Formats: sequence, C-alpha cells, structure tokens
Amino acid sequence: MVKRTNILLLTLIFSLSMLLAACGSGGSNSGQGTDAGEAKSAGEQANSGQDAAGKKLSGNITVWIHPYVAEEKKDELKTVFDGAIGAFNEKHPDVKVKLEEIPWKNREQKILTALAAGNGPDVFYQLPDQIPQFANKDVLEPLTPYLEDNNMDDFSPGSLEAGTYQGTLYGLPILQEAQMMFYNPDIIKDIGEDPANVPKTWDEYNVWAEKAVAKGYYARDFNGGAACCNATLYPILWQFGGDVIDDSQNAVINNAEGVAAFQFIKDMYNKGWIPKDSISNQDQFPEYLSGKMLSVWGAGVTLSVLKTENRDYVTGPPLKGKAEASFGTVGMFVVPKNSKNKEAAAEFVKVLTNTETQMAFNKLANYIPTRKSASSIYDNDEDMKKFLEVAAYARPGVMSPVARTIMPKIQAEIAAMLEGGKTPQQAADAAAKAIQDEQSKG
Amino acid sequence: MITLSKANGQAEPLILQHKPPLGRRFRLEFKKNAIVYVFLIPILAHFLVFQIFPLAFSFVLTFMDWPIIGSPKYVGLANWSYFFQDEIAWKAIWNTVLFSVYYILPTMGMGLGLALLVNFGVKASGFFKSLYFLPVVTSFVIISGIWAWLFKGTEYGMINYILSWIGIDTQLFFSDSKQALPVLAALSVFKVSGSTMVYYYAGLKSIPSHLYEAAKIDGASKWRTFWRVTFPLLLPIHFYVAIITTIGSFQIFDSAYLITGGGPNYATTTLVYYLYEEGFTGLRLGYASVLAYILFFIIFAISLVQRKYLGKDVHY
Amino acid sequence: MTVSMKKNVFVYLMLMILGIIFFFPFAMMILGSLQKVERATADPLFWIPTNPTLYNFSYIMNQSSFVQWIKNSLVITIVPVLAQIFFGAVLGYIFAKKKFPGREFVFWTMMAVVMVPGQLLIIPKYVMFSQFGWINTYASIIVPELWAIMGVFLVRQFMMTIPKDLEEAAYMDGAGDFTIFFRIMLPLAKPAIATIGTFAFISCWNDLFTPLIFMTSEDMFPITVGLASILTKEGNFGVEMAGSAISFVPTFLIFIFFQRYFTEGIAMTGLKS
Repeated sequence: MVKRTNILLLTLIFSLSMLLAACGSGGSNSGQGTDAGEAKSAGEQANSGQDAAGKKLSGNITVWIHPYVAEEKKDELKTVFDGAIGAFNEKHPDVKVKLEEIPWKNREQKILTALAAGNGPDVFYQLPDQIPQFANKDVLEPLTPYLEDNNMDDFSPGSLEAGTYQGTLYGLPILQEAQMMFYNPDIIKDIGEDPANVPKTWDEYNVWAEKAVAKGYYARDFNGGAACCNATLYPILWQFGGDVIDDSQNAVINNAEGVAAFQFIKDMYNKGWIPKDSISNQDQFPEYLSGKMLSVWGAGVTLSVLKTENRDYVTGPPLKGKAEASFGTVGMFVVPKNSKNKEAAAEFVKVLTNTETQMAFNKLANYIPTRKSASSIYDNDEDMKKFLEVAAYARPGVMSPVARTIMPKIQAEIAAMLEGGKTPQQAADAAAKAIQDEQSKG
Repeated sequence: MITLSKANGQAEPLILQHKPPLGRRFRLEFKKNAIVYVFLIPILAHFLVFQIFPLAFSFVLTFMDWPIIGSPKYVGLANWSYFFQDEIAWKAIWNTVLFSVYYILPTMGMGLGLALLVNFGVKASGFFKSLYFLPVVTSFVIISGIWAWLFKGTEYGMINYILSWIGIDTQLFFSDSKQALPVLAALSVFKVSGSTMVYYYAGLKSIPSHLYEAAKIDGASKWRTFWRVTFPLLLPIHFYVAIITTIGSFQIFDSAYLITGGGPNYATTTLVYYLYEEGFTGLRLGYASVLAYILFFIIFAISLVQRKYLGKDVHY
Repeated sequence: MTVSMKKNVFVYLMLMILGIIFFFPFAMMILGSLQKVERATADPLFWIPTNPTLYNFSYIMNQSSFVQWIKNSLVITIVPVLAQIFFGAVLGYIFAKKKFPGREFVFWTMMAVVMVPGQLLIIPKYVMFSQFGWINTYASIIVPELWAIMGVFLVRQFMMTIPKDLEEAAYMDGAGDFTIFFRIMLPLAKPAIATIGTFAFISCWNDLFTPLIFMTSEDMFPITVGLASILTKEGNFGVEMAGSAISFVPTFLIFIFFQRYFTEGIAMTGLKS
C-alpha cells in the first residue's frame, strides 16, 4: 500500500513539473502570437491621432507605479489612482487597467528586464535622465501623435523638455520636484544668527557653516554613498557655474568651475562641515534629525518627514554661487514601443497627467504639479510656494544616454578625492575621462 | 547491460545458458532498473535545459553585444579584449583576491579555535556551539543591516563608541577604501566561522584517542601535542575548509551590494558585484558574461585543486 | 584550585566572551526592533530601549506587502525543499546503487557543472525565462531548483555505505526497484534526507541574488529582497530590525529543530571523498 501511494506521489510531482515546463513553452508561443498583434496595432496607430477619443478601445493595460508616498498614505494614493482609472473608464469602459506597484530600488533594472522579456508594463514611470537612454535604444513610443486634444500649453516648458529627446516627446509629466535647503532653527539661534534671514548665496552660507562647525555641529549633509549625483555633486557643480556635459555632448566636468566645485566639496570634508563618513553614508538625515547638523539639502519628501515628525524647520533657497541652480526631477509616464495596447496606454497617460489627477496626486505626494492649471493646490502653502519658485529654474539632471552609467564612475572619483588619493583636479579629470569612455562605448 | 548479465549470473544461472527472449529480458531489466528510467531521464532533461544550455548560451553571449533592450549583434572578441584593458575588472579581481586573504585564514583560525573550545566538552558547550553556528543560518540581508549600523564611520557608530573606551580614534570603516573591504570580510568571517567550526569539530572527534594517550605517555605538553598531533592530523580538514571558503569568497556579492554598493572608489567592487553592475545596470550582458566566465575559470581552477587533494577518502 | 578546575574556568570564560560577541548583533536586532523610532539616531545609547514596544512589529505586519513577502518566501522555499528531498533521495540511490553505462560520467558531469557559479547562468537564464514568460513568476525561482546535485551527492555518499547484500537479498525475494528504494533505502537514508531538507530550506529562504533579478514587482518579492528594499530606503531602523527579526524566525525554528542535521551534513560532505 505504502508503495502505491508513493508512486502516486511521484507521478503527481512529475506531472506537476511537466506542467510547469509546458506552461513555459506555452508562454513562448503566446509571445509569438503577440508579435503579430503588435504589428497590427502599429498599423492602426497611423490614424490614431485623429479618432483615438472617438474610437472604442479595449483590452488590458498594465501600469507600473512606485511608492510615491510614505507607507501610511498608501491607501490615499490608491484612491487617487482609482479615481484616474474611473475617469478613464468613463471614456473607455472596455479597457481594463491594472496597477502594479514597483519599489524604487532597482526600478530601472526591473523595467529594462521586463521590457526585454516582453512582459513589461504598458505604461511606466520615467525620470528625465533615462529618457535619452531609452529613446536611444528605441524602446519608447513617441507620444506626439496622441496629444492633439491634450492642451499641451498648460504644461510648464521645463517639464516637457525633460521628456524630450532629439525633438520628440516621449513622456507626459505628472510631477516636478525641486531641491532646496532646510535649516534647524535651534542651531541657527545657537550660532547667533537669525532664522528669518537664511543665506541666499554660498558666501553667506559659508559664514554660518564656519560658526556651526566651531560649535561642534556639522554644517550640512553630503550623502556620498547614495546614488550619485543628482542630489550631491550636480547641484553644487551647477551653482558654481559648471556642468557635466555641454549641449554638444562634450564632458566639461573638469573645466575651471567644475574643479572649483570639486575643491569646495573636498574643503567641506576636510573642515568637518560634512561628516567623515560622507564617502559611504547613504542617508545623513538621521544626523540632522538628531540635532547634530545645521542644514540639509532636501526635497518635498524632506519637508513631509519634518512635518510628520513635528520638527521646527526653516527652508532656504538653493545657494547661489556663479549661478542659481537646483536639481529637480520630473516624473513622467511613458509608453514602451512593445506595449500590446499602445493607444489605450497613451490615452491613460493623458488621464494620469490631466489637471484633476495632478491636483489630487501632487497634493497627496507633496510634489509640484507640471500643469499650471493644477498649481492652485498650493495657494495656501508657503513652503510649497517656495518649491514652485525653485522649480522654475531647477534642472532635470544630465540629458544624455550615458547619464546613468557615468554616475557610479563620478561617485568613485569623488570618493577617491575625499579620501585624499586624488586632488580635485585629478578627480575631475578622471571623471571627464570616464564620461568620454562611456560615451564611446555607445 | 553489465548489470543484467551479472545479476542473472548470480540469480538465474540456468536461464542464462539459453538466452531469455527479448521481451523477458526487457521486463527483467525494467524491474531491476525501473527507477533509473523513470527518474534519471527527466532529471537529465532538466539538467540539459537549466544547466548545460545556459552554460553554452552564456558562452555565445560573450561574443555578442547584448543590451537588455534593443537587438543583439555579433561583436567577435571585442568583449574579451575589452576585459584585458578594463582596469575596473582587474581591480574587481584584485579586490576579490584581497577579500579572500582577509577572509580565509581568519575564518579557518576562528573555526578551529571555536571547535577546540567546544571540544573541551564542558557543560553547556553544546549551547555555545549552537550560538556560534547561528549566523550561518541567518541571511546576509539581516546581518548586513546590523553590520552597517555597527560599523558606522563616525563617533556615533557603535563600534567606534566601543573603540573610544580603549582610546582608539574614530575609524571611517566603510568610508575608507582601505578599511571597507576588511570590514566586509569580517562580516563574512562572523557569518561563516560557525560552519568551519563544525568541520573542525568533526575532524577533532575523529582523531583516535590512543594517539593522544601515546603523546601523554611520552610526556608531551598540551601545546606540543596540539602542534605535533592534532594540527597535522587535521590536514585534510584544513584543505577542504580552505577550498570551500575560497570558492565562497570568490562569489561574494550580497554584503557589497547591500552595504557599500562597491565603493568607496571601487574598493569593495568584487568580481560578482561588478558583473552584476555591468550586466544589469550598464546593460552589457555580453561583457557581463565574459566576467562570469572569468569567475568560472577561477573557481574551476580551485575545484581542480580540490579534486586533486581531496578526491580520496580521509584516513587516519 | 586544581589544574583542571582552572582550565574549566578558562574555557568557560572564553566560551562566554565569544558567545557574547556572536550574540551581540542579534541582541542589536532585538533591541532595535523594540523601540519606536521613525528614524534611528546615530547615538549608541539609542540601543537601550527606554520604552519597549511592539509598535514596529504591528507596523510592518500591517503593510500589505510584508505579509506577501513572507508568503512568497514560503512558496519559493517549501516547493524546492520538498522536491530536492525527493529527487536527492532517488538520484542519490540511483548513483550509489544502480549500475548503468555512463553512470560515473553523468554524475561527475553534474558535479562539475555545479561548480559553475550561479552568477554565470543567471544571464542566459534571464533571456530564456523571458522567452518562457517566467519572469516575475514563482516558476523562475522554483523550477531550476527542483533538484540539487549536492543533495544527490549527500545521499549517494550515505547509500554507498549501505551493504550491497541488503538490496541483493531484497531483489532475490522478488522485490522491484521501487520497492527496494522505498522500503529499504529511503528509511535508511533518513538522516541524509533531513540534511538536504534543512540545507535547502536555509539556502532558499536566504537567497537574495536570484529573486533580485527574476522578481520584478514588489508583490512577488521574497522576504530577502523586500527587506533589502527597506534597508536601503531611508533608515527607519526600528522597522528594519522588526522586519529582520520576523524573517529570522523560520530559519531560527528550523535551526533549533534540525540543528543536528546541519552539523552532521556539513561533516558528511566534508569528510568523505
């Protein structure tokens, strides 16, 4: 008897594993099937601009979103997206929208691998410096044909520029961000300064920093271990009048202004303005929160944490050196070329970035809306008004296909410089060389 | 079928003389070896699909430019020749070798020390043995999370706080390209020495007690006995442990990924971490496959050593 | 005080000191998990909980994704564990006791291929699985792990020590292959099987690299990848440690109940050819 049940069990396990294998080949067949489907939809796409709104769309679309808000607001975020799906389904009742939340960590890799696998989303979230990389590889669907009825003038020009590569628009922006300074008012008072009168330029700031360090505080944060460089090197580099890559795609990170920025970071480190573990630290916000740091370079998320933690804070503008600059990413939704339902996806992107969704979304997530018609949500919020001001001149990162791949290399050069292995000039030169190498790899 | 004739020769010598009909031989063979056909064949298929094919395919990949997105193209030996001039790749190999240096001997020494302590057999030594083994079963993710906090590189870090008691200045740990790798290695020593302890413990247990008694009669001191009897008799264990820890150290990834992200200035970019970065962040699957082959060659060489020295039973 | 007493005191002292060192990080985990801190301060004194609370645990358990991560971990652990136990036993028996042409060749080829680091195969597997439509499914993790040569090796070593007379006798009594395997060999190999199970459990439960690459959406993450995403998110230390502590429970239980098989298994692979 025992024997028989065992054999039964074996057969079961085996048929199970065969089944799994069968699922596999089935999947690959259906993959081929969709190729044909894709060709068809590409054909249809030609005249989609005119009659997209009137035509009956159907099928499924999968939308990848990210945790834009803290855990406790997750349900509210869901309500916002459900609202957008509701509005979309009023127009297109036959399209089923499926939302999937992807964590921030490794998002890029996950999107790439899923796209390569052909089982990626129909709509996903994209940041400006990835647009050139993806567009360059021809994986993004140009959105221009779908946008005739979309009141494009309402978008802030900078946010549209972030979604544009070589003159083609690939992404519709939903949010904008800007970074600025946050100060601890207790420390400001402790160093004998006035919280109502925060520094506007680097020269003013340096005086404060000296005083704070003399009193045993850190001046500011420099998260050298976190993903380089949009919140670390680049804002300082731009404020010092330098840049990473110029308009004709030449590496200029090691020009005089660039070296000055490198030198300044090195000085901050040597003088103890930034913590000694800035080389590897991924997040120095705890130091600020525990009252050991005068200021941090932060964004909307910094603001919302300070608010939920009931901390006193003072916001300050990005510091001006030779130029006024801040980093401010733009978040947009894009449609991949291999989506099986591009028209519906594009229509959904339009709903996701319309005025109503932007108002609800940005109010909840504390970002800056990209449509002027949605900016009224911050009429009564002084902090967010300041962010709106900064957003006007914030830059969306480096617009180059190598924007992402050069970051770890630049990060390594900064680490080498802070440690003393390279002078600022050598580090900047090496960074420039790394950029050229990446560009030549294509 | 050797099996069949041999078995028949023993069990049914008469039948063997006038060859049984084919069907019967087939049934007999199946009866005796059914399990081979039923299970080995599907497993072989699985082996071909999930091991051999990917192995061959990855070799093909080394000659391709295979971005994850976009279409692959043949590039000949470009990936291989790039490897030879890629300074970071060589640095990653060097880091991995350095990591082995920081990791292998301490792990072995620690394991042997723990095994000797536990082997005294005092009361509750079983409890301590389990305690030392606990990190072995704990995931890298958990230990790395704790490690990063313990070794925070400012005066507010836990280890720095403890060091300050004995007058040692604040250390940078992960922010120092000379310290980052040893601290990562220390994590691995902490995590793995429990398992080397078990190997050594088993080795110590298998040393016949008459050898110790003989040494005792000769009047040898404990110290002398250890170096003259115990240590040499553990030779096969030393070899085995050395080789498995070496192979393990060449595959180190988790802690570098979780704590340092390969930094600072590539100081903790190990071979596997670099492979991961090139493959999945740099989107160069072809080149990442070259790096994977380099890793394979290194590990293959080590396992050749293993087979040479350990391909036979251990005798005392 | 006699010499042996002195010796014992020394041994206990060393055992205790090392015990404290080995337990220290776990103590940190537990202490950290018991305090309500949205953000850990860098102060070492932070570690001493003034108001112990289970807040972090309820917080993390209430996150829908955390429970899902545990479920995912269970699925991608239990299925391979059962399969590896079964196939390890069968194949171990086949390679130890059955004679057929090419047996040694097949076995040592399999052993040799296992020397191929998993990192080498992950890239081609990725391309393959995307063809199968397996990316972000349990299959991508489970199917390649249905059997493992090390388990086979373990059982093979074990069964080679079982005298041949046993099965010869059974065979002469008219027992078929399956009967011999299930009635004689399998019960004898129980310790080896328990070892395979415990090892497979720990390695599947703790694996980070494979699911990091194959699982793309948060709701498919196992606990390792999920925890890693919390750890590198901005430092919510108490919650991180609570998550670590919860994910540690299954390994800890397995360890408590099957500890013997770990140590025996390690010794077995190490000491015999």
